[in-house]
Amino acid sequence: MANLFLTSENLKKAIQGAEISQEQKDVLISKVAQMSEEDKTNLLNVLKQVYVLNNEKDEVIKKIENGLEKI
Amino acid sequence: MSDKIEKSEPLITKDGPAPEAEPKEFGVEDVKKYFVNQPDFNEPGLTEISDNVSDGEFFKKVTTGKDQKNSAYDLAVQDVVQYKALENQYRGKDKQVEADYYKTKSEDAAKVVEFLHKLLIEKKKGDFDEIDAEKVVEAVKKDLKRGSGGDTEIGPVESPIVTKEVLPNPSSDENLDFEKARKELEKAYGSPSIDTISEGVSRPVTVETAVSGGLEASPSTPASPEAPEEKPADKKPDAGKPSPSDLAREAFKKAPDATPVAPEEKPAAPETRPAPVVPEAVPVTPPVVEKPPVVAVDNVAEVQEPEMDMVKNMRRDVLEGAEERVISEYEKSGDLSKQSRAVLDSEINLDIKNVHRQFTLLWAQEEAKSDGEFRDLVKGLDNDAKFRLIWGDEKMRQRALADMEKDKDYLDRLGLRADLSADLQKDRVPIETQQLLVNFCAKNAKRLEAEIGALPAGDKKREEIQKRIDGLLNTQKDLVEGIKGGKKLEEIAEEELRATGNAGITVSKEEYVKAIVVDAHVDRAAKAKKEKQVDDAKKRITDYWDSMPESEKKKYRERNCLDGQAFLQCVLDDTKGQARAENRGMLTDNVVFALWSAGYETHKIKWGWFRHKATMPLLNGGSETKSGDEFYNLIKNIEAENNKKTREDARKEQSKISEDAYDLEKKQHSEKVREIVLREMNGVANFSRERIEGLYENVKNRLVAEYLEGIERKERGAEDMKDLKEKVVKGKRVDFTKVLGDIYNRRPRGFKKLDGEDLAKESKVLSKFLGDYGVRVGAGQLQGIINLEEYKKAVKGKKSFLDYMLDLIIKQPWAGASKKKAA
Repeated sequence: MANLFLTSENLKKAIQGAEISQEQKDVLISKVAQMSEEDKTNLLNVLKQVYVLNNEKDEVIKKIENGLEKI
Repeated sequence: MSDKIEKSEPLITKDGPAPEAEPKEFGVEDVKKYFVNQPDFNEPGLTEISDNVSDGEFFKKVTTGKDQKNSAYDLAVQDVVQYKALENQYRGKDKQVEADYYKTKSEDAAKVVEFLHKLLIEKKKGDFDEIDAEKVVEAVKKDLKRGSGGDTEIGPVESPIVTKEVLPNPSSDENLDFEKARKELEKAYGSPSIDTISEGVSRPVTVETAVSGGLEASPSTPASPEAPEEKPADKKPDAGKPSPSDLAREAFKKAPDATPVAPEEKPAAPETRPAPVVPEAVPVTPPVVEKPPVVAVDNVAEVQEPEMDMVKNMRRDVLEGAEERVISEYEKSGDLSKQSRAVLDSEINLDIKNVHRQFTLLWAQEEAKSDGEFRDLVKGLDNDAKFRLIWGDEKMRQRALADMEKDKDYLDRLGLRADLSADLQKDRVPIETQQLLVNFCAKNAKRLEAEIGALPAGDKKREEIQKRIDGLLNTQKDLVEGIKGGKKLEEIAEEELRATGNAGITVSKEEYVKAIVVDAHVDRAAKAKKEKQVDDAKKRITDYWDSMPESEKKKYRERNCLDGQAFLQCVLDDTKGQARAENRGMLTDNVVFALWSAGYETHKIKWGWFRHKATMPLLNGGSETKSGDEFYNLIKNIEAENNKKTREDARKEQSKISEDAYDLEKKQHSEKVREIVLREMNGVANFSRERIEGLYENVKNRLVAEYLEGIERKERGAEDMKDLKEKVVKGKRVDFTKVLGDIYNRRPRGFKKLDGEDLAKESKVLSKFLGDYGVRVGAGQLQGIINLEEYKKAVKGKKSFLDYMLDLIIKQPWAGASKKKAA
């Protein structure tokens, strides 16, 4: 079942908000218009992973800096 | 032992019955009480020991003292010696009361000695015949009887001078501290070894020991201190011959441990009459208490010679039924060849190594010695030294004992092999060692054969193991020929084949020789059991004649079988020779009889090599299945089970060491990995913020890049497909979807199957290519429909994979083939 919120516009906003390079953002945005539903879903998953990685990175850095516990 | 003469008390214990009390059977409790009153003896808990330990360990344990030096048996024997000496001294001084006191004491000690022997005999009944056991008991009794006359030598003499401090002056009661005297005597003389006694009992005695030990022991008895050399004319006719106690003791000693006695220590003249009281200032030689003068001297000459023979014979009979005969044959035979010695030395040392390795694994690395060090140390050591070496300190010893409880075989295996190895260093290998070596060879060869069976065909180790097996069989043959008086086994085989090969038997001499060699592996207990079964079965076969149907009797009558006895002979003729050869073992005779015992009509059964394997379960009360197909299937099943079990056992045995080593290695490996991970984690913890950010940036970039790559590949594929469609459509009518469908459904069967190293790679490429067009075909599926050779040719001409596919699709060879077929 198609994701009603997974429109091209929403996807572009998500790409813009992601912590990836501007170059990558441009390429992805340029392709969004021709993307199939499946491609869009895959891209959304990639963006989610990027988001999780960012959070994890912050957490790791925080732990190391505090020196309270090791990874 | 510190009782004073005045007490004149029961002599077994302080609380024991008075000498006048009604005699009762001497039992475990009496022995225990006796020893409880010996301050230097660690009460052994005889009942518990006798109930719980194996035969091999029994005598050792029951005679093991606290300090690992003095055993119960040794102490009791020494008590007899000392009390006798004191009795004689008092008797010589005409002090009858004191003399009687020590007489009773010595009798009590003698009861203890006898009891310990009886215990041993009880425990060894499984191995010794009843008659043998009785002979041992008789020998001990006679020995003690003679000991009561004063012939009480207790062992090799090393420090002959004992002063008055050592031997108390019997004229002074205050000085009669016998416990002290006994201890000092022990110190002076040395105490008989525990292991020499215990092992000597449980294991065969060498020929050399049997002869030389007995004959040389007595001359070691030094002259009397009272009148050392003053009465040479009083020498007894049998002076220099072994005393019964020598013989009894030597009978239980092991050859390598026997201490030779220097000729110069021979007594110049044994005493023939009671010695006077020892003067205080006169040094005395230890055997003063052991000398015969105070014995019933009159009968010594008559008693010693027959007793010596009796003990000698008893020793032989007990140790090996047929040994006496074999000994004489052996004395005529040659010795082992160098080659055989080399094979045995190698095999034995391998065994020592393996056994030791198991010990080291059990005992953990920090306590173990290296294999090489261990081997060097063990080689040639006597048993005492070996035990000390193996068990080491008390902690190690305790652990070893605990391990022995788990696998009692360890010690025996290790001890036996070290003994065999030491014997091999001698010029002439003792006869009973040869017998052990035959068993050793047979056992090892069997194990190696199983190992080969467990190895896959073509394994390089097979050849190596086969060489060892051949070496062992040749060595075994060498040994068996030596045991059989040097007669060549080929000659024996010819003779026996002539005698038994009258039933159309076709057996080669070589096979028969092998059968003899294998049969030389003797298991006495099993042999005795089977002999009984054989007798039972013979009767059964003979009796069967009476109940045999007439129709069946008819064919036997044609062979002149007119009664049960003749029928038995017929059965033997039909089965014995052939079965013996086929099974490479003469136990087959017993197979025949055992099967008859179990109700099988063996003369109807086709003999096969598996029969031997089938026997053991049957002998142990296996199946109730009767003859016919059912029996045949039973044997086949047993064969299969046995084969499987043999393989599994071999595998287990072989893999045990490697498993242990693997576990250890795995543990170490895990530790190592853990260290690395921790180190890495600690390393990460020290990373800078920039480095962490860089790591995460790389991961994110890879994720996005992979996504984009997929998108691009798909777009490229779509373009290619567009071109493809154009080309295909151009002038041709090709249903492209159908072609892909055909590939998906693996219709194009006219193609050769892919082979070669590139198979997987090419299949994956095509699979991905088709996948981009929505055709989900696995690489494995494609392997059956692509002609790799054609594709390679196509690629060689700079043809792209797409072009190749295009050609393939346009030509559609499978479609043509199916059309032709349809036409």
